[in-house]
Amino acid sequence: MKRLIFVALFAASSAAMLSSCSYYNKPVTMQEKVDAAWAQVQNQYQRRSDLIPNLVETVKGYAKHEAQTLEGVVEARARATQVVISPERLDEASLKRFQAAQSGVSSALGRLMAIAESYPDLKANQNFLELQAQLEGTENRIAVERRSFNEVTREYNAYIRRFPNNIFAGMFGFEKRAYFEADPGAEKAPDVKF
Amino acid sequence: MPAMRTCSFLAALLIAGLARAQSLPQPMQPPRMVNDFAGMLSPQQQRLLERKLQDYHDSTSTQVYVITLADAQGYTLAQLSPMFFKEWGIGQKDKNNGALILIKPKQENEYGDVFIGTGYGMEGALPDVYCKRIVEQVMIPHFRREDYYQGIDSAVSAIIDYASGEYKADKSEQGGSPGSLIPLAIFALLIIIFFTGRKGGGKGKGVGNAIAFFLPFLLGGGRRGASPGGGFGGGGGGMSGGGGAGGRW
Repeated sequence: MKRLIFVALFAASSAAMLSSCSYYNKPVTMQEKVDAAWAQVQNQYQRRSDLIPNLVETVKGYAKHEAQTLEGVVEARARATQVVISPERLDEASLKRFQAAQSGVSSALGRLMAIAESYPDLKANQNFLELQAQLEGTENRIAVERRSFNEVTREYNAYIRRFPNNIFAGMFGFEKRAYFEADPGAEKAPDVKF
Repeated sequence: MPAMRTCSFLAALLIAGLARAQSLPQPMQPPRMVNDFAGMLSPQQQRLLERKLQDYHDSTSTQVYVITLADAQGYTLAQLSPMFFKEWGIGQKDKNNGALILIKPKQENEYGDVFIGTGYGMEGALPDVYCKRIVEQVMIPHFRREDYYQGIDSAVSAIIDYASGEYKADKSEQGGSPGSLIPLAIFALLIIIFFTGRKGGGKGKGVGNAIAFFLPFLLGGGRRGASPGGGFGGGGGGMSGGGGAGGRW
């Protein structure tokens, strides 16, 4: 009899252990997805950053008097490139910092492209047109990657809050991840019409 | 009271489901690459384009879709493009070699809109700058003259030119290759032998029946994206990161 109870207990505990494995593995996989999505987000912002020096040079050739606007872009870019966040450091505060720096670049770029409107020669410049197309495409990509980052983060957050996952999540130390708040216009306006 | 709550919950679910379903149109059936929801092309023109695109698909496995929409439901075409890629699976799953020509025709007080979207795997052959060039130099001049077929057809030719040599169709994508069928055939044969062996009498008939039963499975061992019958099987599961460029007229 004693033996039977022992066997039953052993079976029950090993079943519990086995099932808790999946409570550990599943969120780990989901976290990895979040990290990968974050890397994609940063890649696309980096891509935009890489376009800026060329763009500034091109505009400078036609619009020398707009030194202030041009400097604004260069400075915003410099500030933004300093804010690189590795996935394990990604929390609400650091994401907010990242977002603030990047939207600084967005608005500086917006101003730059707005002044380009008043220089017909610049607007007809082949190099400028190509940079503009690349910039538009990059903004689209940023929007796509941000959306998919938010999606996988939301899935992960929802998963670790659901019962009984929340108990195991607490036990194994899985915490809620931060995601992008829609900053004015960024979430719904990848369509950069200058 | 709980019943009512359940009811309203179900209603909410239903509405949410409908709203979701409404956001993107489903691919036309049977699957095709020219999905002219806005009715910009004549049936004859659709057939011509379809043949050109499917020939290209058969030789390269690259999928170039043409979708026209009367209503973008408040989205920009640039936003819709990756959504179509995701939902329809444009391009092959492992190559992401899809492209999408998305058009919203000009209406009373709205501009016409056109966007060429690229899958992840097409970004090299067809960078945004090229898409922009195709839109502005090839498509829009035709669209201004309301010659939609010519505009789309020339754009397709340009895309094919740019992407030439980038992808080749694998053997397996040309329909089920014999190699992949051999294990399946052996398995089926074993089952046939097993079942007919147990029946004892009426053996010959049993084998015949079993073969007739398994034959369709053997022959139908193709894959999604290129059915062995030669017909087009729909999207292959490709994705887009939002690449491409557009314009308006």
